[in-house]
Amino acid sequence: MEFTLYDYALSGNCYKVRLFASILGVNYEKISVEFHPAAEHKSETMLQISPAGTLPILTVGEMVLSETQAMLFWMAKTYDRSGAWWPNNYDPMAQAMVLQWLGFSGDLTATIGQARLNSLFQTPIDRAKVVKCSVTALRRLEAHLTEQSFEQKKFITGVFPTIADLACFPYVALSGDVGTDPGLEHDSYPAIRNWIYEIKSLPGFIPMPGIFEMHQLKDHEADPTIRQVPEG
Amino acid sequence: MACTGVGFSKNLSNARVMRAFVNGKDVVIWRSRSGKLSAWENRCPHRGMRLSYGFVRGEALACMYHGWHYGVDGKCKYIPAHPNLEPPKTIQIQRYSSCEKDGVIWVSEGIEANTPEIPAGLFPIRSMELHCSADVLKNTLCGLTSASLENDQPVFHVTDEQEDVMYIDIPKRKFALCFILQNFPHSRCFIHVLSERECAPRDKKWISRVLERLRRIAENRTGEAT
Repeated sequence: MEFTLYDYALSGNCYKVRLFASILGVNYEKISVEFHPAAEHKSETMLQISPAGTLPILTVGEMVLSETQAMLFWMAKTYDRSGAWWPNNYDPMAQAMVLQWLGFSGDLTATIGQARLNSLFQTPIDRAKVVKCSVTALRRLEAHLTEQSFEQKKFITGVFPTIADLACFPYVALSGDVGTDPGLEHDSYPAIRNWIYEIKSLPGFIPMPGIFEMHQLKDHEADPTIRQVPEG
Repeated sequence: MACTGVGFSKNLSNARVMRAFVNGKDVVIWRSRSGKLSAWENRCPHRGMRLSYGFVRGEALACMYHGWHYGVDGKCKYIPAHPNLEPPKTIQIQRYSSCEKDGVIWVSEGIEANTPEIPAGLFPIRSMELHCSADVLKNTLCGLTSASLENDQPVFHVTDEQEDVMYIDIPKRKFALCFILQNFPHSRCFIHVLSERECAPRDKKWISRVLERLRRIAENRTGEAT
């Protein structure tokens, strides 16, 4: 076991770590923490482990990380032999772009993530305001991915995915099921819809509740419709 | 029956699914693995699930709920819970006619195909959703051409206007654009914008940002009206 993840199945931020570990093929120990209704992450036991009182928590020996973006960075630098998920040291601007969109992923948690907590657990928020900010964030990503597509770039910072894509993916993919508020469904965002398909096509992709994997037939699978007698 | 432009061909790859609205009706549009385009009522006849949540499996669309498979003819081909049953031919989804021309996907109600009425040889730029009705957008565009504008405001010049299509010049940069309008529920609309000439990526980016500016103006007008 390479590290320990204190995890909550419904959390989009915990899912970022699970997803990246699956893509990298890393084994880790998973400890489930009841976020709702017990608020176990705020218990004295958990606060002793991570004073931040948030989930996920990633521990390696004495080292404790409480920010998801830092976890993704550490995982990329430690386990990614391809060197694709975090740009190399010779390209500071490429690194800066990844950092910029990692920062943006925080905006998604603060907007779509909050609207979703309100839908799931009735946490008190100014829903109209949060939905409006969520739409603003989705539009920013849609515009950016559209501009990327003009240069045949399918991902947030280029032709290959980075940890910035994984950091932005969960709350964007979850936004469609947050509620019926106009502007949260993916039908409004063609570039985002295509980007979601690209992320779901990555080798090692795993689902979470609310984010389904694609069921497209693989080449070796039999097509059940072939059993049917051809027409005519 | 008039055709509705629902998006660009390039934005719906093989084996992918999208949802759109045609005359206020919920429609699933999907492309089979080999590339065949279909547009159907967005409702599985089994339990009413939106088929736009479904998955393309080869030449069939499978509902996400219980996996019923529908072929491109709209007929149920396979029911996973009863693998040996040949599904009754009466299980069939209402189909819409769909066609593609110059990179635009067009859908109309009924099976009779209609020919869309826009000139050939346009280049798709961007599909964009607006939180205002198509009428407000049209009025905004027409109003902008005559209103006094700030110096840095790109001036839109409406050269022709039909029910669902507008032709707009941006004289400052000499772009001639075609706007295909599509109504969406909750007083929203989509515009599918094409250029009369092929553009470099940086020109497309400039147009894309001008469209966002237009959206801000049109949506603010909606806010003032209500």
